[in-house]
Amino acid sequence: MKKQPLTIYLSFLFLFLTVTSVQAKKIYIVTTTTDIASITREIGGDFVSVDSIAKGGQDPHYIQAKPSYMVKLNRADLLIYQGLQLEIGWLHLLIKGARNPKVEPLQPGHLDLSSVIQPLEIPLGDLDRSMGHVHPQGNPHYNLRPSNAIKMANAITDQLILLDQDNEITYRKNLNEFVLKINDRLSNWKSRLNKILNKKVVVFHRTWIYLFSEFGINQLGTIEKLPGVPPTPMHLAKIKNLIEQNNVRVIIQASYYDSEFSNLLSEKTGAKTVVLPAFVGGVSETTNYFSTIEYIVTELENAFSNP
Amino acid sequence: MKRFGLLFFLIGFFYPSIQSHAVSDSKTREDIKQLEQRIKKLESRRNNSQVDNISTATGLSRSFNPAISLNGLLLGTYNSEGNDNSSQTNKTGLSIEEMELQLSGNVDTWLRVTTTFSMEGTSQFGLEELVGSGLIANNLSLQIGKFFAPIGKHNALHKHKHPFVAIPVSNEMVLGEEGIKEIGFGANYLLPFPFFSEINLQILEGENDTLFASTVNDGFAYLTKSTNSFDLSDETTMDLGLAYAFGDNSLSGPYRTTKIFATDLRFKYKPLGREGYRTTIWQSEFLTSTREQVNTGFYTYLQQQFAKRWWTQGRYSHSYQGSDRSDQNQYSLALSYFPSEFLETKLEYTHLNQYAEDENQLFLRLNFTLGAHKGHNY
Repeated sequence: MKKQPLTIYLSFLFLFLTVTSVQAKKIYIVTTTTDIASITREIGGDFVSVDSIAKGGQDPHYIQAKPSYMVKLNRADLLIYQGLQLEIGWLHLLIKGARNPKVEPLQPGHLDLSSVIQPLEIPLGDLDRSMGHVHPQGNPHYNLRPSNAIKMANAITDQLILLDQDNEITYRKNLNEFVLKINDRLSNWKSRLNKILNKKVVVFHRTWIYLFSEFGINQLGTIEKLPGVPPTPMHLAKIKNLIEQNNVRVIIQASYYDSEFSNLLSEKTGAKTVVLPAFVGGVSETTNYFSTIEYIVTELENAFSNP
Repeated sequence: MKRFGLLFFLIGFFYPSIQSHAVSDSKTREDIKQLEQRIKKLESRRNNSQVDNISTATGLSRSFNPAISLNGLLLGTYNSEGNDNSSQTNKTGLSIEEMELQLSGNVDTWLRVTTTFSMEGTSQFGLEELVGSGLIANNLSLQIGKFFAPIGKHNALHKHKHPFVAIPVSNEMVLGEEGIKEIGFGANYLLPFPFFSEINLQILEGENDTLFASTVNDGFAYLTKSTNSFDLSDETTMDLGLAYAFGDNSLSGPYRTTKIFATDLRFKYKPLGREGYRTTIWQSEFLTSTREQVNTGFYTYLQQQFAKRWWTQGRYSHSYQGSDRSDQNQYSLALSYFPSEFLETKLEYTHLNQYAEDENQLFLRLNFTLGAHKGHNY
């Protein structure tokens, strides 16, 4: 058989053109919280690489604006954050230090997820810092409501398609799978918690309001006198009375808070302190959004059922 | 085989034009998607309560006002030297050490401006800082105005961010009591390294009386700073900075150029999670300037957070000006309490050992911030 170098060369040329036309580079996404990172990975799949600035066990209000985070953001194609002033103390410093035009406000690489959800606990009237650490636009912990995770996933999908239209079909497919799974799990979670009649709780900080609204849990009071302000002895006594008079069996707090006051009230009242992850990775068992909510529901189920 | 070869050739020949046509279609779809996205965002935008409060009929609007914050430093001092010396900086008594009013906002898409007015005591009012900054291109931003020169770490801090009430004698000797605050412009570039590394180049007016103040018309000062930061782990970072500045002064002959060199090193350990309230910081700085004689100084301090709202810290600083008579050794110990992130009370003891009589100072300072939420310290 005669050698046909021209054919061989053209074959390789065709192969080369085909291969290089495929988007080999992943979209690099930086998120502020691990919940957003988890949902983004579900939607983006193999086409994205995701880093979260806050670790799951950290209080995202007080992240340091480390220079290494500026380097991450400098390389990012997309920044996704929770908003509602959750990151007010540090994100603007990172954006400035990153010097990346792609992630500046109003660019396709800048996504504030709070724009797609309906916030709860929007304070009314005049605000000032005598009220503690208030969020003027509403409670920012909306990630804890699985219904909101669907809205977040939708917004993330739209943004990914904006940046990477070639993979739209995959992103939409992943979104559909995510939504189906969330709805399926949500039915299960609700059915388990609906069996419990007494779902009255006291919390350390107002982290859980979205979770409670999803599952019909009744928050009677907070151990913090005001958001971010530790309780006085008088306030602790008031909460103790509240627990006893209303047969509250469960005290809830996030894993990144000191449990000194919660444990004290547990000792005095017999109510059980339940430490929950406020974000993915808040405890070691929670590796993604589904396992985080599953962990929370299981812990609450056990606490309500076995006070 | 010849037909296959011809087929491949044709595909390869026309592939670029097919690709470009696909790209053109793709771009159009992308433009449409972007427009749809913007419409969606506009439709879903919540009615912000502030919007309702704007009265466009009267022409009054709060929407574009800058962010405003006020910082105050109230100080109680005991000085073992007494108040006989009128030039004494820290006199026994109560004082308003400083008030700072800061305004910041975006002028437009290109420029952000931060202005700080300060008042020392109850009468000395002035412009502390006026900085315009803008992102020019990837990794590159420009800065213009009056600002704190990034010589070391301490000189770049506003007074309410100083970790101690007493200024380290190293900085006071080498850079002057007020430090180096100059009018100028500069660029800073984030180098494309896997760790944080930034180069800062500045041209300064050179007005500092201690170091520059050249009588020559074009007597500018020039500064270059390299800032580097390394994550040793998720919880520990190391910062290393090197700065060099030079400029003409008012002397003549071989001493007409002042040269300054500074290096800073910091380790910060901040545990994740609940243990995050046990942060440890160790910072050191070495400075030297040459202007007819060599002035040298260094400080090292350690800060330890031992509870959510409590810090303790200690510092040693040394300065030397070419003779034993100029040697100064300063020892400081402080305890700080933060009822909230907007309020600090600090109790500090400083002992100054020097050729003249030793000084002992005790400070009680209240540091508050009112208004717009500022960035958290790193």
